[in-house]
Amino acid sequence: MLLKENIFKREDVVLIGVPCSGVGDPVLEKCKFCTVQTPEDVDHLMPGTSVKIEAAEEEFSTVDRMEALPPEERWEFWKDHFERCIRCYACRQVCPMCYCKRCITEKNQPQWIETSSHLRGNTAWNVIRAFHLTGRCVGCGECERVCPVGIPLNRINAKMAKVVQDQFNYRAGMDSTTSSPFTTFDLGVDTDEGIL
Amino acid sequence: MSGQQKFISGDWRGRMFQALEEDGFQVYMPVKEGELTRFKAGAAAEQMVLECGPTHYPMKEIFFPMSESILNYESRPGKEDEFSVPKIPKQKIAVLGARPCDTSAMGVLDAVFNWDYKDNFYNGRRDQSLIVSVACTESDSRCFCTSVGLGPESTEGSDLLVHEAEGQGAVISSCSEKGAAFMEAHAAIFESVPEAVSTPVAEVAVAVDVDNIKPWLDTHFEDDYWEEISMKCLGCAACSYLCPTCHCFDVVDEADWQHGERRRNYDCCTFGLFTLHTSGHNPRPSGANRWRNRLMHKFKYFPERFDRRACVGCGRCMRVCGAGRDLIEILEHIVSQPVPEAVAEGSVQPAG
Repeated sequence: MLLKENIFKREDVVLIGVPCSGVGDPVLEKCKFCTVQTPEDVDHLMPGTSVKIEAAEEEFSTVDRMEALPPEERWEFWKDHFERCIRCYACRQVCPMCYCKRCITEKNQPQWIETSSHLRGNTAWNVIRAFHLTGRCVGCGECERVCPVGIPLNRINAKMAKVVQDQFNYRAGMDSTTSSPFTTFDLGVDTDEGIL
Repeated sequence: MSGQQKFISGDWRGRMFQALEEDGFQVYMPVKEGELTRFKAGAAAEQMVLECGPTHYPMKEIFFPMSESILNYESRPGKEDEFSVPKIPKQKIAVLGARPCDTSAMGVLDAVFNWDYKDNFYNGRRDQSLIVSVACTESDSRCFCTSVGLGPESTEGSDLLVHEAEGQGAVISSCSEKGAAFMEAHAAIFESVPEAVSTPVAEVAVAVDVDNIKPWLDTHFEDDYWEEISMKCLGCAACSYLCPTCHCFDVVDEADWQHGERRRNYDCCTFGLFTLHTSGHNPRPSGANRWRNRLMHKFKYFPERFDRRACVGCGRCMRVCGAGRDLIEILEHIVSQPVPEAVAEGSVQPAG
């Protein structure tokens, strides 16, 4: 994803891959749905074997369960979690795809997002974070892991990944060449009226 | 230190809670919020959760909330501009079930919010508060109160200190005039301390000799170590926002065309934006500079200004760090460094 977004040049980095059989004890949720146990497009691959972990359920089953709830219940769920957010930005700091020199929450002319940790500001922050990472989030799950107040951010990430999968048949981070749905603009393809 | 000692037999939580409510206090207690523990008002006494170590969210947020309104303004065409300062409710606040590390931290906040400016918002809540702490019976590997001159039964910042007496009730010690007055006013629930009463207290091993930290800091403003420890830091504010003594804040305006609100929100020295000037210059451009400041503030600048450390050894910073940053390890490294003798003399700060 970072290559695709021209953050660095491929020739400027040496990639050393490590075969992976899942991490964490118990093994992390993300590893159950991982399809790449041996890293691709690396310069060196460390020796070792890897095993695919079998998941007990479908990848987006948690998202499906959430979607089945009435909007009021979904809002109650997220309201409870967002109210707890302390705006420490650990989720942003750890994210491999968050690299803006000045994050939108720090832009104050105008103030796009309220920095106060009230429900309004917290909801705005968490929604914008999700939107900025849609089609870019590689599902590493670090944001949820580092969240000091336990907000289940992976559920948001999974929802966005599912939307992108359904609408564009695209998975972020699987290669460095396929056009990225939200960062690619092609006059030949994007012919919607009013797009320019 | 602690004055009078009395005993409450049986359900000390319920009795204390009731007595505090009778006195008109809004009682904050540590309760469960999902998986986490946090001080909340409006809960019943039996909802109080006294776990090993401090609560997840610190007690400071009762007196110094993460975000609070400090000014409202309105400007409408044809009308005179209006300004109003939110009033602090007259409601008295009691905290029941704080840990001694959190109550000790109140001394840090009291000092700052009454320093060059007396903060009405903080003091408005604090002045009419009564804090009842509970001595720790357990500790975990992150607790290091004894390393910063405190302990599982420290009384600083507490009006009353509770020692739970294994199923029998609790021994209550008054630690301030307010606490003594409360005991007197509620003499009916207190009795003499029985002879055979066991009040176990946690053993917290001393991890570092904290007196040796400042002499090193005094002489190592420039040191490669700052770069080394900053490499692991994510640069978020989890450690600071959940720290019971961190007190830096930002002031923001949230407004539309006609009216707005000025709010005070937590801010943190680990953010690059914290010291960024409008000129574009940043006196703390790197993580190393910011980490140095964080440690210096707690163990050098604050002691120089207020004669006490800005760390109470609660260990929250280590429990919440997503990068596994370990303050005890850092302090251990610092105290293991040689310090010039001339500096070591007279640099020792009092405990707390």
